[in-house]
Amino acid sequence: MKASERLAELAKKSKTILPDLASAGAFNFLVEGKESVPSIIKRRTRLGRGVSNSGELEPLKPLSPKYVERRKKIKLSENAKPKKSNLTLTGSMLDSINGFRRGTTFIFSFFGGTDKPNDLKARYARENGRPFFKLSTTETNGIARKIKSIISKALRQL
Amino acid sequence: MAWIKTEIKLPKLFDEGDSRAIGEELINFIVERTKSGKGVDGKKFPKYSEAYKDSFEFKVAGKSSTVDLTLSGEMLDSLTVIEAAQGRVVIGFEKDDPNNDKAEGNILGSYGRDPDPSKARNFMDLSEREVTRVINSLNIQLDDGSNIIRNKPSEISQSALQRALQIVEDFNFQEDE
Repeated sequence: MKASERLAELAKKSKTILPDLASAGAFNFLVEGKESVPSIIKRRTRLGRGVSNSGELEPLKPLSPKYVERRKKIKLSENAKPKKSNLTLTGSMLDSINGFRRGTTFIFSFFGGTDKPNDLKARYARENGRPFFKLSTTETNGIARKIKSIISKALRQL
Repeated sequence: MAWIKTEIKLPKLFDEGDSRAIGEELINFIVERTKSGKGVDGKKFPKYSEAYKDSFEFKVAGKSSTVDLTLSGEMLDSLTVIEAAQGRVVIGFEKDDPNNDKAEGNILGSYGRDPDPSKARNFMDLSEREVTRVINSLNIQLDDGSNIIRNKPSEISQSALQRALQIVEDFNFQEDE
């Protein structure tokens, strides 16, 4: 069989096995656990880093002096410090990031919110120069590598 | 800045594309091995210092005592195939990548100070046995003339990458509009 024919066959097989792999939970790591997309975003944001428009990791914009003073007077969550710009006051917005699977599509969103909806807080953060709710190029590469490895393994076993 | 990279010799039957695909598998092996807290041949890394475990960064990253060299995860995500040719592959970090410094700190145990072998965590090292194990896991079948007739690494890699990128491109981040 020629290389082009083998590739065409592999392309067909890889398309066919994707829904089965997803149903069997092979990609559940994307929505559950330490390596999930929500966990990656939460961890990186709590460390004070966001993602630029070009996909680079960058420090989140510093807090204004006035806001830092306000934060010194209130009880902060354990993941916050008065001067630390990490989108954490109570921690509820980042805590509420969740992911779920629909077929082979993965959806990431915010749930609930007490004082104001968490998705609104996220929009506010982005509009005020602290974009965080996406993946950097490096993070995307790491995730794609892991997914690729799972698909490769399945293809080799066919 | 040091340039952290490792060259791995492979059987000559692997052409450039296959060597690249195997390099990617080796990176995956290194990442998974490191995240499980182990270095070459499954040896455990030296423990984290108490000062680091007490740090704000350690806590907000939700780290456990498993030494996985992962704070944000950026260093391990940055590993890449630098060069591939028939029978050899070089994996590591791009030359100008700032993660070279982080990697060097881990490998030498220096962390911005003098090298300290008791804190060295050489996550890039691969034994011959580990490389063989990764190659064997590829389930390659050869004909009598040592040509790959089934599971050619470059072809599997190409097809799998196409699907993996499709999944990632379809990620749907829902934010208030």
